[in-house]
Amino acid sequence: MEKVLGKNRKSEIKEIEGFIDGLDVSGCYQCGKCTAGCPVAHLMDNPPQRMIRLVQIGAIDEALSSNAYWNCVACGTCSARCPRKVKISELMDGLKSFSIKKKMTPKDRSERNIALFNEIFLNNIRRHGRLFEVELVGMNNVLSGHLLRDTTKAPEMLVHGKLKFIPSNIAKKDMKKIFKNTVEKNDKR
Amino acid sequence: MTRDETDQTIKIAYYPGCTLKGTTKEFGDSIELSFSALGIELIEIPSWICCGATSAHATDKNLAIALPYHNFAKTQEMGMGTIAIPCAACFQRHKVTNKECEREDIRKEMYKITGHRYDGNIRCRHPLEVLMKDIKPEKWQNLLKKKLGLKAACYYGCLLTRPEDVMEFDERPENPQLMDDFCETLGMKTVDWNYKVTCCGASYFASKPEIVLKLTSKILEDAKKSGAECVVVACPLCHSNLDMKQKEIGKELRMDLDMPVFYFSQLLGLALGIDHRKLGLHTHFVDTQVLLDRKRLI
Repeated sequence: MEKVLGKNRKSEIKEIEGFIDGLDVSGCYQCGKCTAGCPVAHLMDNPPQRMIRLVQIGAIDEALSSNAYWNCVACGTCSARCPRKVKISELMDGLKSFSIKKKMTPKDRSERNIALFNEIFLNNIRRHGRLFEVELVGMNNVLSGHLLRDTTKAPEMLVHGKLKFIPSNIAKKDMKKIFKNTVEKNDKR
Repeated sequence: MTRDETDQTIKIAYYPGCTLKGTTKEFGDSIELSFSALGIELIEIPSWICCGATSAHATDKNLAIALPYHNFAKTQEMGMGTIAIPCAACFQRHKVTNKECEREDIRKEMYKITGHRYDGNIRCRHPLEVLMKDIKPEKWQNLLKKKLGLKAACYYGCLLTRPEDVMEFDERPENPQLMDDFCETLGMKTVDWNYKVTCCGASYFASKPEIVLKLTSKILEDAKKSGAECVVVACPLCHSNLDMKQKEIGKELRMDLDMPVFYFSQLLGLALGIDHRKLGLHTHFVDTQVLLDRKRLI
C-alpha cells in the first residue's frame, strides 16, 4: 500500500482519519448503498461512494477539490445504512474541517455560501453566547449577495413576537475561552 | 429525573436552545405549558449556550463537543440528573457529546478547553422519550381533556434517530414509531408513509434554499398522498422548512398542499385543553385554524 500511495499520501489519509475517531475507509467494498440513499447525491461531482474510494486510494487532492462534502447535508443516512459501518457522513465533516484548516475555499459560489454561512453562524454565537437570529439572517443576506432572501416572511414573524432585536450576550467569557482553545488555536498552527 | 416527595412534581433540567426562544417561540411555549399542565417542572439551565449546530461540527470537532459540554457542566452544577431537549438538532448535538464524554481522555481535554467539570453522568432525553419511555402514557393519559381525531403523518427527520447507536431513540430507526404512538395516545390516527426519516435539508435553509425546496417538496407530496391531514414534527428546522416554504413548494408542484405542520407539543397542549393562542397555533405560515375548527378542537 505504501508503495502505491507514497509516504506523504499515507500521512494525509491518516491526518483526515485523525479528524474522526474510528474512521476507517478501508472497509468500503463499493456497494453504493450510501449514494443510493443520499438525498443530495445529484448535486455532487463525486457521490459519497466515490469520495470514499478517492480517500482509499489516496487521491486526497481530488477528494478535497470535490464539491461533495460541501453539499453534504449531514443527515447521516449514508452512515446509518452502510453495511461495513464506514462513517461516511463523519468523513464529509472531516473533509470540511480539514479544508477550512488548510484555508481552501470551494470553487463554486453556491458552495462558498455554505462555508460563509458556517463562518457567520459561529462568529455570531462566539459574540452572543446564543444565536442572534436576526443578525444571522441579515449578515448572511448581505454577505452572500441575496439581500431580500426570506425578508417577505419577516412582517408576519414580527407580529407574532418571533423576532428578537436584542442579543442574549450570555456566558461571554466561557465562549471566548472555548473558541480560543479550539478554532482559533487551529488558525495559529 | 427527581421526584419531589412532598408535592409529587417531577423536576427535569431544561435546555430550550436558541430558536425556541425566538423564531420558533411556539415550540418552546407549548412544551413549557403542556409539561407544566402534566405536573412536570422544567428548570432552565442557567447561562446555557448554543450547541453550535451543523456549523460547529462542520468546522472543528473539539468546538462541536465543547459547546454542549458546557451545558452538561452547568447541569451538573445544578445537581440535576436529566436534561430534556426539545429541538431535534440541539438534542442530537448533546447526545453525540454525551457519548464522547463516556471517555475519560475526552472529558479531560474538554476540561482543559472549557475550564468546567463534567463527569459524564447526565441523561439526555427528548421530551417525547420523557413522556413515552420514562413516565409512560398510563401515568398522564387521564389528564387529557380532548381526543384529537386528526389524521397525521409523523415526520421524524434526520436527527432524532441518527446515528442510531448514539441516539437510541427508537429500535426501528428506518421506520420509527415513538411519535406515532404518542399521537395515538392523544386520540389521533397516523399514516404509513415513505418520508418519515428523509432529510428536509434543514441547515441549508439560508445558504442553499434550492436544496431545501427539492427535498421538502418530496416530503410534503408523499404526506399528502398518504392521506394525512397534517404533519407532526419535533424539530424547529423541519418546521420552518415544511411550514414557511410550503406555499412556494405548492406552486412548484402545482398542488394545493394545505398541510398544517404541528409541533407534537402543540398537539399535547390542545389535548390538555390549553388555549390554542397560547400554543402559538395562530402563528404558523400555513393556516391551522380551518382544520382545527372543522374537527371542533378550537
